Amino acid sequence: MTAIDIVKILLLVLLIVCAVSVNFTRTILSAVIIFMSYSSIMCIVWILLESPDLAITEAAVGAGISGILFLVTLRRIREADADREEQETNEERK
Amino acid sequence: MSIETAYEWLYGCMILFLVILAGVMLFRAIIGPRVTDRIMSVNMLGTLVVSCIAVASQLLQELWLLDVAMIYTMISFISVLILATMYIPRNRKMQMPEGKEKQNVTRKTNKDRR
Amino acid sequence: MKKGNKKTGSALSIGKSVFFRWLDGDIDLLSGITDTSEVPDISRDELRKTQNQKVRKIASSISMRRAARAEEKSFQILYRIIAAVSCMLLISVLLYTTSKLPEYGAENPQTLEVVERYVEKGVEETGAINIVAGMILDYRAFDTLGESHVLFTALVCVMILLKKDRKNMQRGLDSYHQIEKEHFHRISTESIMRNVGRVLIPCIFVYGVYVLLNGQNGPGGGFSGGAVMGAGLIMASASVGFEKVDRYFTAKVSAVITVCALGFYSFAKGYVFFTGANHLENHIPKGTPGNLLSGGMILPLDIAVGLVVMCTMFGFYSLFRRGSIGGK
Repeated sequence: MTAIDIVKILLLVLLIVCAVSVNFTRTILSAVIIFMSYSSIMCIVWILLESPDLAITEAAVGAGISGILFLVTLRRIREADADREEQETNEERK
Repeated sequence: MSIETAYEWLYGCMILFLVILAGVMLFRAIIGPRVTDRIMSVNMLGTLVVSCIAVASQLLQELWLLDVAMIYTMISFISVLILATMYIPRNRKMQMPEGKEKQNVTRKTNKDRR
Repeated sequence: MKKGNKKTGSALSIGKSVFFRWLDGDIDLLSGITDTSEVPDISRDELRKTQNQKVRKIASSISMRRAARAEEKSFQILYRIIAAVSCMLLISVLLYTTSKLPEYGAENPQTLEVVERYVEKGVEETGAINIVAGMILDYRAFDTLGESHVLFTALVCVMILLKKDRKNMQRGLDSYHQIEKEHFHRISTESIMRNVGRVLIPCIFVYGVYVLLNGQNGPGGGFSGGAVMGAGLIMASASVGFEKVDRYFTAKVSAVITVCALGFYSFAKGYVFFTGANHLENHIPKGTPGNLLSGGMILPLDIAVGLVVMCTMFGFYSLFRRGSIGGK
């Protein structure tokens, strides 16, 4: 049982913890952040399995672009919500 | 034991230690009650992953892993940058995405910083 | 009736059939007609008794709405029946096809001969050291063509949904875009991001080009290089502001790049659909494996795929954030 085997088992356990806790957090923003860290841990797993193309693509797309797009969408949803609430309060006042 | 196995044990234990630290940062990302806790944990997780990759490149004696480390550094910087610029409250109209109970608390600290 | 104020025409189109209003996008039939809840229901006896013309107008629209509601119910029942029938049909076809495949782990040509041929003769037939890149861009170039088309279609679909136009602006997203403009102005004057961006953005682009061009000699290739370049453009627009990026990356530039790259790829490898595995000869020489200019057509195809991915990634970010790719 070398150290690398323990590392692999520990990484897989962390992946399971990430995947379960995405469901049970309170806010959507924290779910997106845990999704990004899931992608980071997956990058290390690909490296230990010796596949370079997958590691590069996972680093660039998972932690970078996919996470950024989720954050932009989240912000747009919240601002649309705040906008609609403002419109409704204005209409109620009228 | 020979010198090669000693090196393997050394690098293996380094990666193990870094992965345990990554687990601790993940714990903070899950639990941390404020947005800023989570931003910091994502940033540190990226740094830890980069050091894991660098040590793994020495362990497996492959040079292409350093390419992956460079990509990861730049990309995690971009994502933390965008995360930080979008979730700072600009004025009173826009609400914090944390949930409405803690709104006043976080707004006070950010206003004080300015 | 407040509905007349909306300029979308839904108040005027109450006489139109419910089906055509669903096609236009005014209502969602599966969740119910949305604009019938404002006027209350009155019975037919009360309708006959009223002399007031305004009430009669409202009541006639109520009867039209009742007809619309009946039509909606029949549409929903029909929709569910057709959905169930087509699903069962598709399931049965797929199950029948799967039952004809060989068992898991049985010996068939795919696992014995094809894999050996790829691994043993990959380097000399394709000229690429990275056998994965050789497979996806030489042996199976047609599949990668399909993937690039999928990326392009995704960009077009997001543009259809999110692009700013007159209809969107009237529905109240105007204030969102105004606030975003002010926010951009403020962010682009912060000195930390500007100075770090000045140092880091050229590095990211150079690195993206390096990963792209070394697709056949090491890890990387079209998709990864394009993703890194797209991330570089995102960083540029987030740190120095959208106006400066709009000077050289307009919507026309993005369209020209994607169409030319995808068109080049289609002309280069579209014939494979008809000839199958019998390639035409490559006129680009393979070169010695390990050089930069080696691998035949792999390098130009890599560049095409990378450009499409870069425009797609930046297009997504720009459309999500402010509703258009190049400014106006």
